[in-house]
Amino acid sequence: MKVNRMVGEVRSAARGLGRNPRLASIMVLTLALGLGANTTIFSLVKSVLFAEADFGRNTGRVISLHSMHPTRAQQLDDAELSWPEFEAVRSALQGVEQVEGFVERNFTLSVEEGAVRANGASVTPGLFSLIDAKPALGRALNDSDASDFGFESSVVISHALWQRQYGSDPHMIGRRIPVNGRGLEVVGIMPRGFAFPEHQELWVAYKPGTAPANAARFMTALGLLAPGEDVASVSRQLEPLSLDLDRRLKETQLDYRMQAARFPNSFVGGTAQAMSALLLAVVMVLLIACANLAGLLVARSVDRRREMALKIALGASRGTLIRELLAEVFLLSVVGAGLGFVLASFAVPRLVSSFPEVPPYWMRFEVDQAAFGYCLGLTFLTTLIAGLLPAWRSSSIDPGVDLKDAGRAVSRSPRTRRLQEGIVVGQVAACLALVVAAELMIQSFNNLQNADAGVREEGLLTARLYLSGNEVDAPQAKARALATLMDGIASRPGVVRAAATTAIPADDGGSTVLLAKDAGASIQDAVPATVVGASDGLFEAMGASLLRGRDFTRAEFEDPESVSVIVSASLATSIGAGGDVVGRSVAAGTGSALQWRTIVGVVPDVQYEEFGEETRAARRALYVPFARLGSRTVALMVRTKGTSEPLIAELRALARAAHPGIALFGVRTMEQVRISTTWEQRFFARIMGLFAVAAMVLAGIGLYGLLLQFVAARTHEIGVRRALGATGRAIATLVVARAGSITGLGLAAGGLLGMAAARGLASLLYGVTALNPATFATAAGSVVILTLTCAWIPVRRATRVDPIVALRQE
Amino acid sequence: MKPERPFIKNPGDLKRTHMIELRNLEKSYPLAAGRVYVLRNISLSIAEGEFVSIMGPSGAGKSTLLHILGMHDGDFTGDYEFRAEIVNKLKPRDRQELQKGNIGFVFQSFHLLDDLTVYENLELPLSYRDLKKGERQAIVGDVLDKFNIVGKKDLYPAQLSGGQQQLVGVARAIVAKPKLILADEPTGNLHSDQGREIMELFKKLNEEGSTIIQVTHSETNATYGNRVIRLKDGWLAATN
Repeated sequence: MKVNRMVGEVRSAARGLGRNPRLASIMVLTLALGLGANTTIFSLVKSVLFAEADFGRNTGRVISLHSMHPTRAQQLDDAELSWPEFEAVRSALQGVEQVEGFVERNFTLSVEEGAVRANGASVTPGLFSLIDAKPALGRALNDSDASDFGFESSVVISHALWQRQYGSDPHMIGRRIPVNGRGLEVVGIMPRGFAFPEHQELWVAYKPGTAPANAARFMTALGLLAPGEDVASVSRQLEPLSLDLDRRLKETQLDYRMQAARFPNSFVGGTAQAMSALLLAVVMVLLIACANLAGLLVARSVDRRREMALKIALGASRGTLIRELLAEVFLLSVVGAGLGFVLASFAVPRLVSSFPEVPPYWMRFEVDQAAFGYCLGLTFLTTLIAGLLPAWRSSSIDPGVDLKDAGRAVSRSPRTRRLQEGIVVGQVAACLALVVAAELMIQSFNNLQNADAGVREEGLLTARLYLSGNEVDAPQAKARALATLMDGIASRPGVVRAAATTAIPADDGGSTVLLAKDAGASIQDAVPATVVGASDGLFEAMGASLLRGRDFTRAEFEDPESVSVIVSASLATSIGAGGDVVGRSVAAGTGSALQWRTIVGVVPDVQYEEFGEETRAARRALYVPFARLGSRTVALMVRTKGTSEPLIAELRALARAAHPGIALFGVRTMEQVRISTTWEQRFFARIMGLFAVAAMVLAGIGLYGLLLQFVAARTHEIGVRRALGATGRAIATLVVARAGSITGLGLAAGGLLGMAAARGLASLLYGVTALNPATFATAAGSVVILTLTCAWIPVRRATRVDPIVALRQE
Repeated sequence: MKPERPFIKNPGDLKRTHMIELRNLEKSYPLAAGRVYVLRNISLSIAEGEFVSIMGPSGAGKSTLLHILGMHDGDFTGDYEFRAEIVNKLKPRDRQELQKGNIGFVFQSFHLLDDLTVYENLELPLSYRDLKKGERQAIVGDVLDKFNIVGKKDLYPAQLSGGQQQLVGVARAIVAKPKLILADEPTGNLHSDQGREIMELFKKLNEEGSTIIQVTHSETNATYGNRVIRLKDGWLAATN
């Protein structure tokens, strides 16, 4: 019986909507856009915020362990453990079945076409069992495979690498492949799609030969929670462990505190907050769309008063009327949701493919069951939000009045009018908040785009390379190989200068050291600085001319014992207290391990670290001759005249010619570096901007509709006013004043909402304060312009009311 | 009563001070291949101080004529002269100024604004006439007093009886001291007692110098005036 009644109500609702297909189409489209946008954003957000990495039987139980220092602006993915910390958690944590670790590394494979670079990781032997990963072919790594860095004998490779580089060789297991100049035996091939932790393609087993330096924080640690345990219970144990290490190893552990997190959280960083902001914003867009729907429904209900009055007179209860009206809204919502779900299915893959950075392999952006459930839930909510109030309002009628004078009495009903105006006030408020948020994000992105990295970006090409092979073990050998490459590049047409460094500006940070200014300085007086390896000519290549002193010479570049250093202007100020620092000495290290250097030059500040992730040391650069660091991972900086396209095509050959063990990768212009390091902010700014535009359009439609109704309801009054002598201007003032009062209230409420939104976004902003008056003023100005635009046609209609016609209608 | 004729001139009127003179005034609407005439060849004069009743069957064009006289409707042919101004040759803005300064209108359905109090309804015409607030207050106060409705100034139209509403309607029509009062079936929605009160009021206003033109179906109401103009099918049937 109840089901029959519901079916009847839905059928009746469909008929009712069918009588005005244009209006129904507008409502369905509005809902489709709102629900589709929400489903799209939810599909993205859930993968970042909520989804668990698929670790088979251990899904949901894998946590990551980190070590954070209060003075460093760290994200979780930049907070590895030191070896003492790793051993401490391995031995002492309760409620954790297993603790393993990995170190992300880059490897050089020697293949037919030369040296190629592959992302990989050194993993503790038990890591694959912790994440319940088994090779598709061969076996996993075990204790007998484990050795220190550079002494590995076995390797497990990815399915993609096996296909791409080795042609899916059926005899791959047992084959020896040159990795970093050493022949490693392939013992296993992982299943298709496996790329733990993100995009890795080969894995070697790690066990330190000698205890690593206590200060080196290099191990990303994972734990497997025992059934029934959670992150909080592990976190509570980490504080006393950290304090104990603090006490025992003060020099390297002071103030470091370990913490635990869900595994995915360690990869999402600040993205999580931005995603949450997007989700909130898109929900607000949906609310504005619901308000439009509600406004249309209220207006429609005015036309149906006589029908409602008749139904009551014939015995229908108020509840029956409400159910019938809600059935209509539910039907609209379902159709809108269906269309929206289809829209989302198209939008999500296209959005994901537009990301310049490939997400981790375990992050799946799909419009799946969870998204369907979210869409369904929103459909019900939409029905309630958009339908309940209009249904309640339009069911509260007096048949005695409405059967005699339906339409006129209620169109002038103050309560109906207040309800409609209240809806539009809410829309304007939400619109303002979204515009404020979008403006802030766009300003922030523009600041990022325009932030000065300290280098001349135009005409600057960058590349990364890895020096593999035992013959370049010695720092001098590395430097000579690089010198050959730099000279080879510099000889090409169009190249002004080629240089080598260990960090690309606005992308990489260097390692941070504390510098002592003089022999008696305490650690509290030490100045944090970023150490960057440099060749001769680096500053010329970067377009950062020397301010004082001189550049490194080629001899210093190749000398691992060189004591010359070059400092940035900020570091010079910190050290020199106003005086010239050229010729002064600074030392890195602590206590008896101080290593004194002589400053030979001062250069302008260059930004190391991505914009938005700066530390105090980001512009305090201490440049040391490359050979002093002797790292295998190097960056090239090449200054060109005109386009660098021809050079890019030649770079790999030039690298091979300089040394066969040079694996070149990541060739990008400096502009491309800027784009790749700011794409997230661009993405969020664009999406937020889209939402703000959608909100303006929807709120504008709501305001326009309300003003049209206002004019229609007051046609008689306008006619009387005209007959009594009102000019066109006086009538226009009437309409504009009404629009102004609604907008004014909306702006007041929206100002508060906007402040809350701005505060929520504060940590995501770059170079702009959240509560700056200019942003709010321009946002409010946009809304005022919207109001005037929406009022234009209603004003024209009002001023063209013929008093004769208006009075005759009476 | 004189017999009805389709067209009558009244040369005797030409010698008085004419407030209004209509010469061959016609009003029509396009329909299909031709036109529908609402008023045909209306020529008449109305002197200052007259109290004229326009009568005729439904559809005769009475209200149309009244709205043309009230300068609400500028779409007609022929000449309409008002106090030596040729109305049909004026620009709409000038016509509106002429109307504002000289004419008050009383409607059958009162047409008070429901959201305004009695005081505010009376003040409304003055607010369109560049008067300071103090002046408006003084004038409205006088009118409230004159019509004996001071006690009702804060009430809304929905709180008044029909007769009281029309009283306010008449008060609003004269608040700006118009030279001419036009009334379209002013007692049409009132009881006979209320109607009599309103007509007595009109008579008093006429005696005080206001020119009044009313459209009425009531012969009784017509006796309050001193002349009757009869229309039939848009034609001037008689004037006496």
